[in-house]
Amino acid sequence: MKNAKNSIFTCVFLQLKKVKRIFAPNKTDSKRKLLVKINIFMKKTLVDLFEESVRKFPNNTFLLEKTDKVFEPTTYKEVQEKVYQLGAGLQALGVKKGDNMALLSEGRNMWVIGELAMFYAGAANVPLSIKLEESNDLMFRLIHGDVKYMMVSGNQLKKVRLIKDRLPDVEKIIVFDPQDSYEEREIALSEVQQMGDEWLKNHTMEEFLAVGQSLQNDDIATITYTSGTTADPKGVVLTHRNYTSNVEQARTLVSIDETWRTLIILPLDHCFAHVVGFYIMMACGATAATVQVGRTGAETLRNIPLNIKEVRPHFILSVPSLAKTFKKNIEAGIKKKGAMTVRLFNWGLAVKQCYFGDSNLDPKGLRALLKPLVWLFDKVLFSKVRDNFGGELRFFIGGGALLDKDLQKFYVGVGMPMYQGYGLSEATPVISSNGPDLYRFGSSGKLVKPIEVKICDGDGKELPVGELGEIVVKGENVMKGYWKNPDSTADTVRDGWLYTGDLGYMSAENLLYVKGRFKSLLISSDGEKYSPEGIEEAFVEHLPTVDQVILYNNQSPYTIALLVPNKENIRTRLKEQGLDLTTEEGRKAGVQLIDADIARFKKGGDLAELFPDRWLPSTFAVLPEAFTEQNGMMNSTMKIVRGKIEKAYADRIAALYTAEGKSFLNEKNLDALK
Amino acid sequence: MLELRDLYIGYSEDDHRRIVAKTLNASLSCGVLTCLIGANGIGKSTLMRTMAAFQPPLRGEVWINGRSVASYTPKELSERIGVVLTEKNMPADLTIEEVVGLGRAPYTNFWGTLKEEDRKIVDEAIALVGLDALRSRKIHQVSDGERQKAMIAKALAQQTSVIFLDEPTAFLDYPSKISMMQLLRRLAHERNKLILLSTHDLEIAFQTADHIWLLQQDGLRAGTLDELSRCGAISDFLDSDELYYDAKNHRIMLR
Repeated sequence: MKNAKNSIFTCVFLQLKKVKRIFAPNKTDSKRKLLVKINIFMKKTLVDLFEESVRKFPNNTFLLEKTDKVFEPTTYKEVQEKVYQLGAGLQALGVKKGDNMALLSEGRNMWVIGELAMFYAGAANVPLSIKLEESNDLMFRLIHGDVKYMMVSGNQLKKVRLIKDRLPDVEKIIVFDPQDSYEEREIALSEVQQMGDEWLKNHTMEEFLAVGQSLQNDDIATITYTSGTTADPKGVVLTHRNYTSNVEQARTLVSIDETWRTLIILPLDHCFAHVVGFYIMMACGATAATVQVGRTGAETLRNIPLNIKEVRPHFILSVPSLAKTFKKNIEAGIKKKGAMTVRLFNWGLAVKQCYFGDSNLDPKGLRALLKPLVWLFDKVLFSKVRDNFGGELRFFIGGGALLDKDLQKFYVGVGMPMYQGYGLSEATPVISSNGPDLYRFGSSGKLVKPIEVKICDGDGKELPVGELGEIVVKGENVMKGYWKNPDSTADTVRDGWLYTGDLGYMSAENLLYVKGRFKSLLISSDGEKYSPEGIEEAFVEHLPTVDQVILYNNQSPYTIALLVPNKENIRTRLKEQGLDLTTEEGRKAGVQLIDADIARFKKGGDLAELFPDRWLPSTFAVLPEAFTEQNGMMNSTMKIVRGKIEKAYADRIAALYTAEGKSFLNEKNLDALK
Repeated sequence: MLELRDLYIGYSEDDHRRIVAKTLNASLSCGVLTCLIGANGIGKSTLMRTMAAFQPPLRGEVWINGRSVASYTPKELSERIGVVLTEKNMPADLTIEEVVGLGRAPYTNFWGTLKEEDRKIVDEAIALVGLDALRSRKIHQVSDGERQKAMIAKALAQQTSVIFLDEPTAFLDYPSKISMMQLLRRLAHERNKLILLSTHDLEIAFQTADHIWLLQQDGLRAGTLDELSRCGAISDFLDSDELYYDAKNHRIMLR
């Protein structure tokens, strides 16, 4: 009997196994899918995440803010009280589930409390960059984002007042800081808080919480507008689950516990600071401090060094421009100590860099002999540098543009490695990062878990390990889409896969290497991105001397142009001066004509202010050959193939970024007009 | 005088940190006797060790005399903090007088020779704890209570303004517990010292301490006994199926 029973079980078991094999040939794949399914059924909104943290860490310090002499802590429990008060105030004000609210403020407690309060009123946040100075930029986002309510800091209010008349759909503007007088539609924060107290008195807690609890994973948490492309900015729609999943994913890369502090220097509307600086810290019960807000932006910047010493953060989020500033400050500090210290410092750096090679792991072999020397330098020299960063700083995490290898080596040298990561707003944003466990200079580190990544060629075909192509990712962190922009959404997210437009490859070690833009975006040295097509089209249309052109900027201080001249038009114009292209003098004048043409787009020119100056080419290469289908620089649909051109003229590009080659009157340019 | 600022205590183990107690905030001034109470394993000794800079905090700071203890050199620390631990293993074969003399270590030379002035301080310390008659007895030949007193005398000879004692009343008979606490109280008040001791003898603590520190996992409740019992903290800590705290009389009663 027992045997019979057993055999039945065995039978059933074997059957099941077969079924499994048929439906899920790849075991790991099926497991992963199951995990994804389980996750989908679990509701985890940012409201859930916040409530969980308050429950787990009521007395931990959540926020640190300095408005006067010292940083004042606010615990999780206290933040919750303030969020409830403001959330109830918003409900009383008439905010409904599904409304969009904008938040325009420096990073501070009210930024965090304000956003959380929006969720408790069912609203989505449209965080706006305080760097937006142009009224049009601000207005576009407010109108396109269907913003009904706004939260604004005192410093930013004047920007809003300038354009308020043209924003009929904005019903109320909540002002964080007390004002002498309020214009129409403006309301003081304190008043909304009072309304909240009142509302809570007349309603039960269940009634208040019902809205926040009704939010689902797929409900919109934020609409973040990407900065400056020639086309209108795109609003990245991120759901609650996008955020909570990326928090979970990113935590697989670095273990943060509740004793950690960070100082948020990057703007909070930046997805990177939003998730890593704020929500990850919240999930861990840790502490997030914000830089003391000055009366002006410059004053705020000046507060950073002091604030770092006061907060003594365990890590700082950084972008390359910040990394360069810090490095300059460190070197200036060393210089003040005299030439001897400078020499010692440089020697120490050299020893350390030799010791560590291409990673921060303790090396084996001969280099290990340097260990005592490394230890000594660290003790007497670099620990002093670290004291200037509060003394507890373990590392920086670098996002935005790629940090160059020398900078990475420098920071490892002083004992505060700057771990390069990779991400983009459309992926909420973290995709990969180096970390304390594994650090390879030049790479963007290990992938978060779980996530799927493939590298594709231009046709979307998957490439093998090690080959360069577009980075394509899939995971719960992939955005819902672009706000009211189905075309761009369909272009970017296909079948759940996010086409990042970034160029990269996976190494045999399973590390991600990011090499630039797969699509055409220009990236400046501080990570700002700009789509060049608009400028290029305008050049060809307006400039008689230019036939074809591409702009190029891959994290350099200035943009350059690679252009095909219209020799015919140049010759005609030269004739008026009695010159032609056969003489050196004539070719010089010809190149000058091109320069004069481009200058029409710059300050003082008749086409000025069509495009931001910084994205216009500072110099250019005149190419000897047109982009054609035959030479592969155009594809069959007559679109320019940037990669090919950049590769073919790599030496010309490099030369334009040298001091000697920078002048457009260089020999190669003159030769090209022959 | 002494301040805990957002202090997290515990241990670092390879890649993660075990937090024993956290978000501790409190301050104490001189001339006050404070009893640190809390359940077994809640972290009283860890807190003492952290305050004495024997181990680093996981986060936050301990400030003594307007400076973080982390910034003191070992010598500076030994001139400011006296620590009396419960351990029984003594350097063998030393007399009580010699043990107390060890308290002068921060002030003496390499060989530890006591000068005239040091001897006077040692004599005074021995007199204060009432061990005059036993001063030439070997330390392992006296009772637990007397040895404990000798250790306190050693801390006194160290002339620090802050003294931490880890369970000084453990292993003592009841009258000795009382006299020990009275002695410490007297020292705090008359010598204007900041004395913090951990103890499980709650009722004695309730009667003698100026301040109570009640250590709990997510923080420290600090205040006078009246303050703590009024807000229910003592009851929360003590009340169980078997006993309850009688807040009116500060007694612990069986149910």
